[in-house]
Amino acid sequence: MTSAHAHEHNHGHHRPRPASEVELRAQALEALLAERGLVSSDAIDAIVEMYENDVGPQNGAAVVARAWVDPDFHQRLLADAGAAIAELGFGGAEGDNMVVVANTPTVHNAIVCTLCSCYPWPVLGLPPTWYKSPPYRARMVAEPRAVLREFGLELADAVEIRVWDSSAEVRYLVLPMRPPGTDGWSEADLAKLVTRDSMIGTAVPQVPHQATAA
Amino acid sequence: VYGEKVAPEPVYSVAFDSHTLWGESEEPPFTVLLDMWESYLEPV
Repeated sequence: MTSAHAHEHNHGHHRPRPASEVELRAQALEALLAERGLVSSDAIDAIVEMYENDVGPQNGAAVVARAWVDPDFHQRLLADAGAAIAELGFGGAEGDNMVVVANTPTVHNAIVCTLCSCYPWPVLGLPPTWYKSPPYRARMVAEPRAVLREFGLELADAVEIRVWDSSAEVRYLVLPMRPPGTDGWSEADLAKLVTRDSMIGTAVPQVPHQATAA
Repeated sequence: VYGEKVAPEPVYSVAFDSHTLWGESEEPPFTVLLDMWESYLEPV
């Protein structure tokens, strides 16, 4: 019955392959914990559902869009990120000590956790697999410009790259620059431009062609 | 933070120049900011 439960939840990943060793171990652990009455399947379902539907990069995008349209919020966000983010109703585990770092024409910020996979869950959801991979964690602090190029992000030589290694309590979020050609856009439309990667710093928000052509 | 509560300890974000950390390389200079517990740091 627990394995049926585990199959219902793919955690957003496409999985046309057999369960990996880690997944099997997680299923076995969950089965044991449930069997001994230490956790209920309902509790696990509730958490999985929360991270599938309610908590994700759309939260961070709302924060960024607000900062783009509201200079006072922008200021509060950089001064005390946790409090400003809480204004939008986001917070919780892995987001207790938030710091927002703003990109400028001369500074590009990017986030990594060299030790493991520390990540600001309340605003970005759960980290993508590449963020947890040893090559990203090792190379981002050693050759960020080369790594960003592989992500398709070519930065001018004059732009200083700042790599923030969140190896302790602080969870970072990149505040990307508002793309040109978006004057007068609504907060909701702006939020759609803000991708997860642009808040990790491995991308920058792009305006789709149709929108700029006009 | 996980498990038992322990004494709170300040964390500092310490900036390093990449060439100081890694030596000269083909990668143009950049900045690495590491979160460090106070006990990791020594007065200079």
